[in-house]
Amino acid sequence: MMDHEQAIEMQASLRYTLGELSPAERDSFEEHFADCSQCLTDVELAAAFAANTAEVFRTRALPPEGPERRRAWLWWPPMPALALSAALNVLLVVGIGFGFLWRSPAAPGSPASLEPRSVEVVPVRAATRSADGLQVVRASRQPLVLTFDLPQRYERYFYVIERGGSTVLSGELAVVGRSDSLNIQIPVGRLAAGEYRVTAMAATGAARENLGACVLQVPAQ
Amino acid sequence: MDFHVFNASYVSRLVDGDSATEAHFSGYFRTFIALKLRARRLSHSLAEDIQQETMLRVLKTLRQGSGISYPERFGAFVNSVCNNVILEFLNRESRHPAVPENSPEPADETVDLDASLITEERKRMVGEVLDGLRAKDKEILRLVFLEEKGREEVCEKLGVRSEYLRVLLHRAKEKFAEAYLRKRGTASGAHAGTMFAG
Repeated sequence: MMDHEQAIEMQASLRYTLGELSPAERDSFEEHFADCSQCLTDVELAAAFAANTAEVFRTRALPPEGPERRRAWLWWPPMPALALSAALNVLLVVGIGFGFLWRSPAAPGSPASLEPRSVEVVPVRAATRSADGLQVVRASRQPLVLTFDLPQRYERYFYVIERGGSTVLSGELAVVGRSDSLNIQIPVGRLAAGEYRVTAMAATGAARENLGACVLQVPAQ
Repeated sequence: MDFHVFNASYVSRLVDGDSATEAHFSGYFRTFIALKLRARRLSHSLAEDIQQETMLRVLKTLRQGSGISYPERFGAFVNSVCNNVILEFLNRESRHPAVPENSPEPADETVDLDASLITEERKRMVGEVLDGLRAKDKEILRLVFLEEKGREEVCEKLGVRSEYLRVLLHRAKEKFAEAYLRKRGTASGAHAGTMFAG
């Protein structure tokens, strides 16, 4: 079993949190910090640091609202941040119009993957200052596409999915062709049951516009 | 900071149902088990079941069974029970029928295990640590914590030595820890088992 001095010397708490220990080292360290409240606290702090650091970077990658937008666009990070967004966007498909075919996740070329499927398409109204609150969308087990009107063509499009004030998914999207709507397929199956806020935004140069937002209710499986 | 030590007296109080000891046991080992399960990237719903089953079996062994031989290694005993529970739950999950191809993808609930650690206050503390860093150091931390790149890949990509990376990660984490414990220490005495509770 790893002792306390060894754990400190090898920075076990941080390496454990980052998943860098071998399985044997991990098991040995766990056996140690089960009885060592100092190391347990270190691991807890390292986990909190890791989780909050990722969240800070995730939220800072989004263009902010209001008067900060000009400063934010000067600060806009280079490709590395967008590379992560692009990876997340694998989950989100932008279609054109209401009648596109959706491929199932079945093996390519199999009969099931070539079958057309119906999807639920929900138009989301633009954000207003009314007291009515946000539109509520209740997800079902069908694939769900939220569609936002595009009053004009923009250079860039973004989405944010939040839960309890924390960002769950966010990133940039590409609109294919000359569409008058931004259609976002939501990976409902990958969201835990609960209530989310989905927001779509667009930008051209330094000008930024909120296209719309809704509350998404995901039922328990 | 007050660091806890397990001993025969602690185990005896737990067996007798002392409320303060039970509260410590619950808080400490719920956190310990949550960290174990986070390290294995298990789902939040599975985590809840494993926590409850582990705590139940430990108390049952103490109160109705043979007890434990080395109370000063009480934590290692709980760890051992937890490992058995994890194996049983994972074996049970692997015996479930295959999910049909066209069914929706299962929800990824691992986000919830980290979500309970994220608060506005902690984000602000982390933000202050990050704002005090050079752009290159910020990029290193972003690659490690947001994109979850391995250290070798980060070193190669940014042209830094592994020792530099090690020191940077350690110092950034320590600055956050100092700020957090300074704030908590003046209020209630920071100790293990407080952060997952929010």
